[in-house]
This record gives sequence, C-alpha cells and structure tokens, in this order.
Amino acid sequence: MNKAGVYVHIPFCLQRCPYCSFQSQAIGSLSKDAREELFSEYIEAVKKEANLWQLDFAPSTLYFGGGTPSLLGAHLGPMVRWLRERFALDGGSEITVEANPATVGRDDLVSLVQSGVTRLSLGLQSSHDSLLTTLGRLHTWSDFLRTWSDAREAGFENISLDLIYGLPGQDSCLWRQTLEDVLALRPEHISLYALTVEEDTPWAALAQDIFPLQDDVASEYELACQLLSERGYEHYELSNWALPGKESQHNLLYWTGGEYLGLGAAAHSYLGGSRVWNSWPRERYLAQIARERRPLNWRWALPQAWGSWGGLAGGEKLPFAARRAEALILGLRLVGGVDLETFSAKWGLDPKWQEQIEILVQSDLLATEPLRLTPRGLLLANQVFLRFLEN
Amino acid sequence: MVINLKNKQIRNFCIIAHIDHGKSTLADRLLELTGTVTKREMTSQLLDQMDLERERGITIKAKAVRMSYQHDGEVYELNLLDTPGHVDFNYEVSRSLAACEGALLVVDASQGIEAQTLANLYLALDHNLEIIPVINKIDLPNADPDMVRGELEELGLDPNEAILTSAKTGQGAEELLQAIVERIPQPGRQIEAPSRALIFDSHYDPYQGVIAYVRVMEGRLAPGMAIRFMASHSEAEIASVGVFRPAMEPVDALAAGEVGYVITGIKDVRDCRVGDTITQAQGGATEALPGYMPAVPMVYCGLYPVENDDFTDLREALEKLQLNDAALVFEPETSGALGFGFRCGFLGLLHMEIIQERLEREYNLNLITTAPSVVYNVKRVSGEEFSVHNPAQMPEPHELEEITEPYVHATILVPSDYVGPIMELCQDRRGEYRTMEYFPGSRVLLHYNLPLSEILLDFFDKLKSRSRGYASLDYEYIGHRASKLVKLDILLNGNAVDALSCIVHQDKATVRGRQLAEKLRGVIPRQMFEVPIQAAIGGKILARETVRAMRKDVLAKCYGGDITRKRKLLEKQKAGKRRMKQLGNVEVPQEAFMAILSIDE
Repeated sequence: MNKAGVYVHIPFCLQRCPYCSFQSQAIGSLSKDAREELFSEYIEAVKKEANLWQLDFAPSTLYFGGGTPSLLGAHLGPMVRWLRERFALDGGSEITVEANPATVGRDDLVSLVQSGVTRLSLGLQSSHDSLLTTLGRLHTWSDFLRTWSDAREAGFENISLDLIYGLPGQDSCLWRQTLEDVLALRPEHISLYALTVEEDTPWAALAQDIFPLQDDVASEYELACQLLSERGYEHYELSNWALPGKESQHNLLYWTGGEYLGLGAAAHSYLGGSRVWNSWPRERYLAQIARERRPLNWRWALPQAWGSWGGLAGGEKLPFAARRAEALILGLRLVGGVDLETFSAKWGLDPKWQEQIEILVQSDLLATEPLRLTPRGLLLANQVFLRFLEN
Repeated sequence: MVINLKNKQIRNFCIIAHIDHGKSTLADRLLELTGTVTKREMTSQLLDQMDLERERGITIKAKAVRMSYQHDGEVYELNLLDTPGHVDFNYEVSRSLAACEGALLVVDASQGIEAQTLANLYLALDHNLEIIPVINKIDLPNADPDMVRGELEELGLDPNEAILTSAKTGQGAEELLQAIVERIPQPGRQIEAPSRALIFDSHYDPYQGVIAYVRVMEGRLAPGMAIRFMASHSEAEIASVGVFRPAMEPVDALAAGEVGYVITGIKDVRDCRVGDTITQAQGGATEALPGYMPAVPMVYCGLYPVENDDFTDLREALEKLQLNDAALVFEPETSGALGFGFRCGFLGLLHMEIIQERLEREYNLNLITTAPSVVYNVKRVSGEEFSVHNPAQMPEPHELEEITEPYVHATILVPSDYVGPIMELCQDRRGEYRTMEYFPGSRVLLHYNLPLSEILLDFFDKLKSRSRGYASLDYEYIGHRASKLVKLDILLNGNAVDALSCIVHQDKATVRGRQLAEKLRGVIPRQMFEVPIQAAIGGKILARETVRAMRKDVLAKCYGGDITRKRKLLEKQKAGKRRMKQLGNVEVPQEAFMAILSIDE
C-alpha cells in the first residue's frame, strides 16, 4: 500500500508578507479574545471535517502548514493529540509544524514536543535583518537564534529551515553569507526557494528591474547546490536538501503519488486518483462544514462530492494519460529521478516519451537510468516537464 | 405606371467622413428619424455589422439603406450608401460615389478636416456630386464650428450652407434631412433606355449566392431578365431584385435612379465585381459605365499554419473568405522555414489585417504571417522580366538588371507646427517632395511621392507620433519606378530563414540589417542553447547578435500539495509555446516575422 499523510491548513498570520500568495488571513490587529474565538471555531470545524471523512488509509505523516500554524499557541498541542488519535498515528510517524520565529515561545515548543510533534519547519528566509525587513517579516536574525536554541532545548531533533533567494538587494555575497550562517547551525533539513513574484501579490506591482536577473538567480542556486553538498547535505528534491535520512516524508508524498487528506480551508487532497480542494475564504469553509451532516465514504463517492460535500470547493480526476504524465513530472522533481522499470510496472510507458527523452538527453537536460534531471536540467525543469505534459 | 415611377422623388447620397468623426452615429439618427429602424431595434451603429468593424470603429464594406421621408406633402425615397473610410478601399468609395448625386461631408467640429476626408471630397467633386457640409459633434466642449467653416471656405465650399449637428443628441438631424431633399438633385430617370446598372458592392450569401448592390443608371432590372456583366462577360438571369430597409425586401423592379440589390444565382463574387456594369443580355447597352478597374492587390504576405496539419483548413478558410472578397488573391507557396502556406495579396495593410484576424477568429486557425511586402518588377540580365511577390524569391544581385517598385502620391494633412518633423520623416523614407498647400487653422497639406514599401514600414505610426496624433494620410498608386534595392537575409543558428528575408534600399541595407538583428534578439525568446542571429546580403554578413541560452525556468514552491495549480501553470506555458513556429530547433514567435515593420530608427 502506498504511503499516506494528513495536511492541516492553518490560515492565519500576524500580517501578510508582500510576496506571499498563499491563502491566509492577517489577524495582527485583533484582540487576544477575538483571536482565541477564531482559533477555537476553526479547530472545531477541522475536527468535524476530520470526522466526516470515512477513510481506510493509514497515514504515517501529519503536517501543519499555513499561514502560521505556530500562532495557535497552546491550542496546537491538544489538536495534534486529537488528530494523532483520530488517524491512529503511531510513535514512528513524522509530525511537522511550520512556525515563524517571532510567533513561537519556549513553552509552546515544549508542549509541541510533548504532544508528539517530531519536526519543526522554521520560516527563516534570510539571516540579514535588512532583507527580512524587505520581505515584511516580523522577526530579526537574533529573534530566530533565540527560537532556534529554544527549539533545540525543547527537544526538537529534526528542524527544517526555509530560505528565499533572488531577492531585491541580495547579491551573491549576501546569499553565500546567509547559507554559511545557516550551515553553522547544522539544521537537519533546508528548503531554498527562488523568489517567484505572483500576480496577486503587492510585489507584482513593483518595477521589474529591482529584482535580480534570472541568470544571477540561477548562479545563486548553483552556489547553494555546491555549498550544501560540500557540507554533507543531500539534494533530494528541486528545492530541498537534507542530512541523510532526514528528508521530509510528508513532502515526498507529493512527488511520489502518495495519498494525502487536506483538512481546513483551502487545503488540497489527493485521494483515489482524484485531486480535490476545500473552499476559501475561511468563512465559506466554516459555513459548509457547519451544514454538513453526511459522512463520506471517499472510495466510491469522491467524484460526485466535488463542490457539494463537506468543505470541498472543487476537484478533478484527470484522464489516465494525463495522470501518468503528471506522475512522471512529479517524480522527476526528485533529484534521484524515476526508475522507469518500476514506473512502467505501475503505469506503463507512453510511446511518445522515447523521442522526447532522446531530445532532452541530447540537450543535457536529462540523464538516464534512473531517468533524472541533469544539474542543468534542475534549473530548466519546466522545459523538461513541458515535453511530457499531456495537451 | 411608368409615369408614376418617373415622378417618384429619389435622393441618392453617401457620407464622407474620417474615422471617428461620427458617420455611423449620424446614419443611425437618420434611420431613426425616418422610422426605418425604431430606437428599440437600433443596435448601436447599425450599418457597421461585422464585429471587427465595430471593434475598430470603421466601416469595412459599403452598404445601402432605403429610407422614406415626408417633406411638404411629398414622399421622398432616400438611399444612403455607406462608404468604407480607409485608404485600402478607395476604389470601393469611388464606385459608391459614382452611384450617388450627393454627399454629406461630415467633419468633426473639434478636429477639422483630415487627409482622407479631403481625398474623398475631391473624388466626390470629380463625380459632380452636390456636397452638403455637416459640422458634427457640436455638443463637445472644444467644438469650433468657425474653424471648420474656414476650412470649408478654403476648399471652395459655401460655409454658410454647412449644417451643424450632434449625431449623439440628434440635434440638427431633421434639418439635415430637409437639406438632403432640397439640395441633392433628383437622379435621371431614363427608364426606356437600354439598362445600365452600376455594381458598387457585393456580398456572398450561402443560400442565395452573390448579392450585388446596384444603382440603376438607365433602364430597369426585373426578375426573369437575362443580364450580362459587361466587364467580366459573364451572363445570368435575375432571380430577384429588392431594396434594403434595412432588411432585404423584394420589389417588382428597380428602375433608373433607384438603388437596391440584384440576386442572380452567381456563386463567385469575382464574376460580379465592384464597378462592373449590368445590362440586358440581348439588345443591351453597347458601352459600359466608366470607371471600372479590376482589383489589384498592392500588398502581399505569406500566411502559414503554425501546425503543418492545418494547411487544408487554411485553404478552405481562404476559399470561403474569397467568396465574399474579390480583392483577396492567394496561391500556395512553400517556404524552407515555414513549410506549406499561401502567398496572399491584399488591397492594403488594413485589408491584410482584417483577413488575418478573421482567419484566426472565425476559423480558429493559428497562423504565422510574414511581413507584408509590395510587388517588385524585376528584369534579369538575360532580359527576362517578371514580378516578385515574395522577397525570398528576389534573384541574387549579380543576376539583376533592374528592380522597380511601386510609388504612391501621398497627401499628408498636418498642423504647421509639425511640418518639419513630418518632412524629415518623408525624406528618411526616400520621399520626393512635390508641393505644399496652406489651410486655415494653420494646417498644411504636404504632397510627396513615396515608395509604397516605406509606407508599409510603420509609416503611419511614425506620422502619428511625430505630430502628436494630428497628421492624417492618404495615398494613391502612381506607377512603378526603378530603385537600388537589395535582398536582406536573416540567418538563425547559421541557417537562412527565407520567411525573414526582406527587400531594402541599398543605402540603408547595413543599418537596417543591424537594426533588424537587434530587434530579433529582443523578440526571440531564450532557448535551451545560444542562438546566433545574422543579417546578410548576398552571403556577406552585415550584423550579428546572440540570443543567450536560457538558464532558469523552474517552479520552486509547492503549496500544501496543490499539484493542480502547478499543472495549470505548465499548461499555460505550453499553450504559449504552441503559438510559436519551430524553425529547425529554434522556436520563433509571430512577432519576429513582423520585426522589420517596427524597427526603431
């Protein structure tokens, strides 16, 4: 049986970052009581949603993403416990919570560890306060260092750090320094994201010339690849590095066709070959969940339920050829690539691919056995994926 | 019966106006006031029926509407012939004018007369039409009727006869209708003579065949008559005749002086050309009406499907468009770079753009259009002479004795402040100064002889930008002249791309080559590898630019397992790629083929 996981979306932030297009709501201006009320209401809805699903899968990962899950504070521990019980997650499961350095205290961290959280993902982004200000982040480098040592002291032995490169005002010197600062702490896992200016964010309105040239951003990626490899990190996915054995089991589900149930507003699920997503904004999700009384046996009812059941807003089940192509594309995001024999046993191979693979190998974008991106292909992955995309 | 017919009061007129000066809106008011169309039926600007016409705010094809109007106890039949307002369709305009006794000269009260209006006014005067000046848009705050009156006087018209209107509010429309019946003469009504009817427009209807729009000059046309088209020599029998009110309405006969339609069952508009004369097959007129000219394409371009499989669809679409457009010509051609396509001839750039847009929009074709070029007449050293419609087919320099290219007489109306920059532009474009006339309101009418090919190169946009939008242009073909021309070739990745070749003047060849290579560098997206772009003449490289290899194209972050969004982004990117043409292993977007038209000087 394929591996499976549960994702919980926590759509609250103290304030919105100007580059972020994820679904979240700024609650920094609300009183403590008002926030408490929001949190309780939301957590109850998520629990109700979790109970509505009649699932027969055995998840081995639980992931709290956002937004800023750490904002839930003391609510988070009990919620983790409740979900562990609901989905029968045992002690060996990977349970991740995303946190922002400025929003999480020492007591909260201790409570998370005690509740069974095994992995902490911190949105550091940069080690330079000036760049953190540019990004609209509320923490400084020293705030982060405090959270870092609190987390270690609380007992977190698996911590992931997120960094962003390709920022306005960030040259290769600053980037190298951020990497060095982070590597000195020796986190178990590192995610590096090139800044993507999304259309619906405030940064989309900025003049293009304040952002670094894409060629320079490519060099920053190559610099990181080299540095992290030298320090013993394994590059296992386009944007992710880990010390041996510390890959994010939950994120691997996304690339390997594992099933996952998404709970909460705007959460996405992949179940039985269907991709479905919950409603946004949060109020719509809450209203839908409040109304719903019918449990759903997803094995047979899922396609009919899109947009009409539980918290769902929509879904899709692609035709076989498109799903197969998607499986290959997702698999190629992994640096280790795709073993075509294993892949073929599960999906069969599309005869059209052979010619594409030859072209891509000639262009030094793909290597074979296993089929994988070359170092150049890592930076031009879309050009590779486009050749396999159906339609 | 015959006497009764003869006594019927008829007024045939058209409207001459510049784009945006309110012709269509004014026509709408006349249709409303005469009860031809109720306000409720009035989709705004009824005469402009095609979507494209409405979007561009211009009339592409002429149409005719019959209205009834009562004045002093008499019923008048008013026939409004709508005329296209673009230089590409000057011939159609001249035929519509020939079908009328009068013309409304509509001038925007704030803009004054424009070059095209002027050209059409002179055409109307050549046809001895009664001109009724109309000063429109007087409701606008910056309206200056006196300025326009001054211009009218300068043109030899009586400014006191001008009628002030606002087509928008309807002000002055009633007065205009009175002027039409009082001032425009009754047409000649020699009903007993051999029939002669002028075709001033036609369109193809899938059920009824070709519908010819005619003005009967002498005699009459009725169903059952055997007729002859005097220029195309084809013969047919009339199935029905009728008028537009504005819907088609059959009548018993169309007699001398009347305007209406004739349906014969002819299936091809080329057998029923604008300007041709209809007469009886037996005992008809011996002499055709003057002024017929076969449509001669002035501008050619290559049309190629992006996907080679679409070739047959493209041919079918062109055939269908040709049913309705006698001026469109095409023949299959092969390009080393683009594969199988068609070389198509058009009356001008607007005509070309309209056809191209209709192919993409109505027939859902994904096309590559090569840069438009003119027709060169070429004489080889061997003495052989022929025409070149496609720059790629221009012989090598050493084989050439002489090349001639089409010249036009261009008239440019421009405020005197901008005369300097405009004259400079004309000199740059190898213009030959003829003369200049002064207009009231400190405007100047410049006369130049210009190579038509220079007008295709972004001339109109340059004219507008150098005059802050005030200059207007009209031109007519005056013949071919010898020029020192050479073929400029473009090489991508070392391979010559025939579809990017263009003909340029020898003195400008190096500069143009450099500019074109530079422009292409900006237009061709970065590929998986470096792409050198070279400009060359007869094998000699003039310029080189490089499109650097793409380094980064990757979607980094994945939000909580939202794979659908990632796939949709990729699909969008792939759709963009699909609009590009694969030349060898280089992907080239449509803009590249038009780059020569918009290089910065």
